[in-house]
Amino acid sequence: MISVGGSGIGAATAVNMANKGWHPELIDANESGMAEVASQIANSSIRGDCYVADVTDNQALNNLANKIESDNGPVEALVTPDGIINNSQTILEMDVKEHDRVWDVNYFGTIHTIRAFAQ
Amino acid sequence: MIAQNSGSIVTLGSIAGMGAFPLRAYSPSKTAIMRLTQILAVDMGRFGVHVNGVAPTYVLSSTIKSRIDVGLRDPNRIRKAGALEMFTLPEYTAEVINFLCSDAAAAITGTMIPVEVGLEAATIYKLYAGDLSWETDS
Repeated sequence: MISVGGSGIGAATAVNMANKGWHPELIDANESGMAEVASQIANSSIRGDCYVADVTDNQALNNLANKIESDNGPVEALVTPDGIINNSQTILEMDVKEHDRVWDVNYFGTIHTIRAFAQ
Repeated sequence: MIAQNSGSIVTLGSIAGMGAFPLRAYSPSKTAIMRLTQILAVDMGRFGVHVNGVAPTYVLSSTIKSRIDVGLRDPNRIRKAGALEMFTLPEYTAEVINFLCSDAAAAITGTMIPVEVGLEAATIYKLYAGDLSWETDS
């Protein structure tokens, strides 16, 4: 199974599902966070693979999906990104680039991940 | 998944996507994920792929902890908002995700399961402006 997240819910899901016998593969831009999660998974005697990737990069995710499926076979479960939280400035005051970044990760990151791994 | 005629996808929604919440990009992005989850469930259902989501309330993650630590979030308001008056942890949502990926959820798709300590139930209830004899200010 694929879990997008080297921290928070994505990380907790990878550990939880490894404990139940799944083989988790983690995707995140945060390499050190993933390494920590992988070490927790190793305690359950199941290997947790880590892949550094940006969920806003559609092509990179497609390439990664091809590699993971060729190495380990078909993906059975996918947990998409939890996403990022912006601050609470009003629409008129907010930083537009920050606004777009939230949508890029939370919404388009979800779409790109599903397109890559649900084929 | 489509090629295998099986699979489970779990998206990450939020209670912030279930109503107007003053995070002007985050809240509507999570509302969109809720609707996307339903659309994908129907698009992919005939291929045996389940698409569901989870919608947690404030999860005591490192992100929220850091905001509490610098005074940007009030932990007491978070704790008192739901029926259970408790914090949720990432592990609680992970357990629901695991269920949605399991055979036990074979007949479930297109849902967004709240993991929110009774927040929706409590929101209108706690608006009551009269006296609740059992309530204290603790």
